[in-house]
Amino acid sequence: MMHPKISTTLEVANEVIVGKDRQIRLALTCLLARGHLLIEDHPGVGKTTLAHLLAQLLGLPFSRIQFTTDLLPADILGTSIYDREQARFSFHPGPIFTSILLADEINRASPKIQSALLEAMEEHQVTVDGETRKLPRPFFVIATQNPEDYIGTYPLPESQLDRFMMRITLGYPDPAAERLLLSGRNRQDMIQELDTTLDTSTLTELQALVEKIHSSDALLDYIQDLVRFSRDPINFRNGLSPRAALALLRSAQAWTLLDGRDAVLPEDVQQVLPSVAGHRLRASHETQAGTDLAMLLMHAVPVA
Amino acid sequence: MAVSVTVIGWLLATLSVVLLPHTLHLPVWITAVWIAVALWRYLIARRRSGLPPALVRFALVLAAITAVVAQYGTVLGRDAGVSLLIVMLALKLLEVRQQRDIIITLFLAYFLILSQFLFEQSVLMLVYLALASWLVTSTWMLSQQSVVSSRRALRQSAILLLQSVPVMLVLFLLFPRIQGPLWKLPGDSEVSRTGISDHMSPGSISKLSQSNEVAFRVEFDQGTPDHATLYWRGPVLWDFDGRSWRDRYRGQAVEHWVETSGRPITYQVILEPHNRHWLFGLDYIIDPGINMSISGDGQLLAHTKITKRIRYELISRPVAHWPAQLPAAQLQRALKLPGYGNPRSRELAEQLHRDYPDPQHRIRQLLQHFGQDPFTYTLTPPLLGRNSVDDFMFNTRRGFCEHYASAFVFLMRASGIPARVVTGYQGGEYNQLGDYLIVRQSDAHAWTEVWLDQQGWVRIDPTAAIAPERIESGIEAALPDAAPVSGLLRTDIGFLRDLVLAWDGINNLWNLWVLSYGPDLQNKVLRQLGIINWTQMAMWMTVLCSLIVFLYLFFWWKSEREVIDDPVVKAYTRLCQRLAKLGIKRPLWEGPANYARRIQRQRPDLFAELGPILHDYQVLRYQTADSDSSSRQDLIRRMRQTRLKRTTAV
Amino acid sequence: MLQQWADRLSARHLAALEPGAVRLHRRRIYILPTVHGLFFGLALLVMLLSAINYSNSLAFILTFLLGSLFLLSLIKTHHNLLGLVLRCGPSRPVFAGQTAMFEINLHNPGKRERYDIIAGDDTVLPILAADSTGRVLLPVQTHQRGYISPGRVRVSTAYPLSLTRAWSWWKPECKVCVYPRPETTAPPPVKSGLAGSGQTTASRPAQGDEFAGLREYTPGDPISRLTWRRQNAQGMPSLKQFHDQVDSGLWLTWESVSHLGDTERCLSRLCQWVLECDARNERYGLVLPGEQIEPASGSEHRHQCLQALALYRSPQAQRN
Repeated sequence: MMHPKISTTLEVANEVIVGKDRQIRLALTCLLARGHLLIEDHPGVGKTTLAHLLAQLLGLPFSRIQFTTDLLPADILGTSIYDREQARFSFHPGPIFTSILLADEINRASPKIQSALLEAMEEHQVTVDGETRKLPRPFFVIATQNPEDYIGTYPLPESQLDRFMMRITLGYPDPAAERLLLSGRNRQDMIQELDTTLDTSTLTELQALVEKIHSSDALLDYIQDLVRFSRDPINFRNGLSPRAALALLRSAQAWTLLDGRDAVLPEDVQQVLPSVAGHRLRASHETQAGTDLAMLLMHAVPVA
Repeated sequence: MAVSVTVIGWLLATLSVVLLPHTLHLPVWITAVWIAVALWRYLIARRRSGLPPALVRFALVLAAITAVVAQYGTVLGRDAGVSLLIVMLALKLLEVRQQRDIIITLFLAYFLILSQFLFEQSVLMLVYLALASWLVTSTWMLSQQSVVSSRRALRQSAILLLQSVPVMLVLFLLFPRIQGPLWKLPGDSEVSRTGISDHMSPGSISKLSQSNEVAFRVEFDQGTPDHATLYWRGPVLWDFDGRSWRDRYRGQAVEHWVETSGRPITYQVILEPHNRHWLFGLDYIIDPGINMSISGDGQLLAHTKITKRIRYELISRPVAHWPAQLPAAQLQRALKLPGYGNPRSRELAEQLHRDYPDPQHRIRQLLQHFGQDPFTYTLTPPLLGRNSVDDFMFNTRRGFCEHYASAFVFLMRASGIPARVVTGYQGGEYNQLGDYLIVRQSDAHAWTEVWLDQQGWVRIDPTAAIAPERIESGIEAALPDAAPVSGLLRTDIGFLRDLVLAWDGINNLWNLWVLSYGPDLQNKVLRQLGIINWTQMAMWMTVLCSLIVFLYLFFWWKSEREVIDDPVVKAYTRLCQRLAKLGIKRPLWEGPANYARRIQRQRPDLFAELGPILHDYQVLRYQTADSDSSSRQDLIRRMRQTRLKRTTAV
Repeated sequence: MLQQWADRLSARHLAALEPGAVRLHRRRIYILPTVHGLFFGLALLVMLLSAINYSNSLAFILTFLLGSLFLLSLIKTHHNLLGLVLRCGPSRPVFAGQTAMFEINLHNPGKRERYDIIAGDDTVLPILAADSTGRVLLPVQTHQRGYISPGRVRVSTAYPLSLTRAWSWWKPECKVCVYPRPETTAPPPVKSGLAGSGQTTASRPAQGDEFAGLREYTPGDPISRLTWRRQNAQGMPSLKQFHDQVDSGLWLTWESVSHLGDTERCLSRLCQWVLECDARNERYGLVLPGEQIEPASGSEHRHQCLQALALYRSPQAQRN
């Protein structure tokens, strides 16, 4: 059975963001699997709303950073300011000291900023003025970027893309959902009024539970087959890293948990595969969307 | 597809290897044509220039056919056919443009290999032609490759040919043989061969003695008799014209020629073809086999000329019981001499007759004369004049067995004792490795028989008087070192001699079991295996060939197939295959849960039974930490036993 | 002729598209002797007759060896295909009239090499090493926009001796997007407004704060926007361009080309415009009846626009 708190969360979220059931599920999966999420889409499709909604439902502190070219590391990490009264430097934490961080248009920031953020994502800590500071837990980054190739942007290099567990796209709403959006209430207001449906202790509990979801040898074989196939240079230029393999397993486990089952099936892996592998795969020649490649990968590897 | 220079080079080299042995027995001009055309073609390939125009090629073909007809008078038959094949092959090279042309020339190359077997069938030739076949097959493979790799072609064709051997053996053994020929082609058997001829003149046997060729081989059933007793009787010569001995009235076959007694000797003779009628045996043959008969003077004669190696079994006994008197006709023949010539010898005979009235004494005296006087046994006797016997007896006194036999019979007849010349072989070399006796042309011999009342025909070998070693241990022992006997014959070195014998042993087995594997031998061999008729042969052939093919398939499949260790998965895969036949095909990537759902949707009728099975499979494989073997077995059994009813889709 | 007949017979059952990887198993591989094989059989017969006629054991041996060779080469031909895994590779979109190259991946899962596998009519893969994947490109001439599939693909081999040919049919579910044929002689894009939105297509170099890209400096441009980070071949600096966020991009609309009448001509022109805009790194959007793509730039955006043009009212669009 699906965990009652998860089902409530999904229900409520679907009321606010209509027609994006799958994306919400994936986002929550990513959160439960302790991964970070990259949303790649055009402005105005509801990236911020999604991040905000999650923060509200989880009752977690939320902050948003709009990345620009002139942003400095201190702007997000925080600075030490001299306090005259106490005659010493005191640290003023930046917006990164939060639980849910929306990093908007991450590909507009300079590589320096990007790497500062990515270090934080990976290690759950930041180093300011030589001092290492822990970030709160849970720490969940939702980064957005516009579909690549604007001049003057710094597309994330493959090594850094790898740090996002999933990449999803929201896409335009279908006409019915759009009508609801137009005729219904202001979404921001709706979000403000929502109660927490998944408190922090439950979230931590669920996160711990994810790793305990049974994954049989047969399933691990399947994941390894997928990964091995992706590493054949004739198939892809960039294969899946060990980190990606782990991300695939964890997110499949989280997906299973979300579904209320206790053992991962190959189908669960296939559900998360396009989101987990899509941004990590590169074709050996020319353009083809990453998700197409992920489908290619899925169709290529047998399972029984 | 155009043909690369490499392939042309390979083709020319391969064909040259195939043709090489043919050059030994074909007219020189054919070899010359081949070399010229091959070089021409190679230059064309190298320079990438054009092939000669069709008109030129046509003219060349006409010229070639004309030349072959001029040479042989026909284009049929072995020699003419092979010549034509080679010339055509050479000319075909001039229009090799595509893969297809190469294949045609390679077909012809296989035919040439086959035709070479019509000339020679020795072990060495087989080895050579096996290598040639390998080259032909490699070139074939090379011409088919899109990326030319000689090493790969060589390796793969070798593997392919070796893997073909088992089926080939089965076919060889079991393919029903029938007695050839199906049709007769001109000039197929008219080949001259070395061997004892139908007449004997001074020098004829000593010439034959220099050949090291095998005349026949003998297997004795109980031990090889003493060397000195091995007189292999061939043509018996009665008629002397002053120089040569002949048998003018070829011995008439008789129903029953002489009574014999004594310990019988049983033996098999494997006779090399010599294109004559006579066969060889030890005195005195009891009973000739089928297809042969025996003449009044003890010659064993085949009904047809011996053009192929044959094997026959004989039984001989050492003692013959002759009639008391020689029939008049024979007596007359056995005393007849030309009316003129050799006066001194006649004089000597007269004198002997006077001095020794008892024929036995006369014989002994003459043999003593050969032994005492400075008579020499030699392979290189001087030429003799018109009165050959006189010349030999009183001038040269150097001679080989035919000289002594001839002189002895002449003197016997002149002194009134009926006598005749017997030709054949004496002795032989025992091959311990194969337990048989090799008789070579160098063992050719001539001896005599004289008629003594009460005793019958008595064998007298004058050579034994002058060179007893020849009879005791063979020609090598009897001849001085200087005598020009062919090299191999004279090997004193032990191991080399063993090698030669071992090699002959191999050849003997080869002849016995491979080359003579015809209808008779096949019948004999298969009867031992319990296969008695063509139906059974065909059946066994099919069964064994299929068995070999299946063995190959099995081993390849075993080494190839993806290892599915888990029997549960194996059973599941099989179930999916069965379902695929019902139209619910599972793509390789589809997981079990989705597949089950699809079945439920597409074929709810099947799902009633399949649902729990597929669910349990899913549970066992993905949802259970350790499954006990009984539940696994149970699931496998259920997957196997589930009956998929073929009903129309709902 | 024989081959054609066999082709018809063997391809009879192939109806549905096959998604994903396909393994060539025993039941879907067909095999027949080639013309060479038939002649080889004939030659064997002649050789057998001469062996019988001359009662020649070695001639028998040679004949039987070659017969056995025939049999084995049949098995090997079959084995050269057996177990092969076929898959579609990624493929590039093309413009109508160009040749679409379908990438077919042939995976050899076994432990032995395979040779000379032919995909389609004459695309040969000379060697396929053990446990590896080879790629062949299957050219298909395109005429119309939309999706195109290679249809029935024959995978065959005549290895090792071309005595026998084994083949298998495959109807892969791979498709290539065929963009409309760009109208090379098209006039430059028309500036057009989108009804009711008030947006215009003009780039306004002096206003706005969103960085939009670089263009080459031309004398008279404001010096404050020069950047030396990127220079052209003559060492001239580039000019930073900024867009106003609300007012960005060129709208390529159906209305602006609808006067051309014929749908295909309209699409050709729009296609050409998309390419031109993309070449200039401009932001552009596309408006088709019933479909609208927001202004953006980049290769993915270009693909999106061109795909929309390719599938516009095309019967395949519904299917996909």
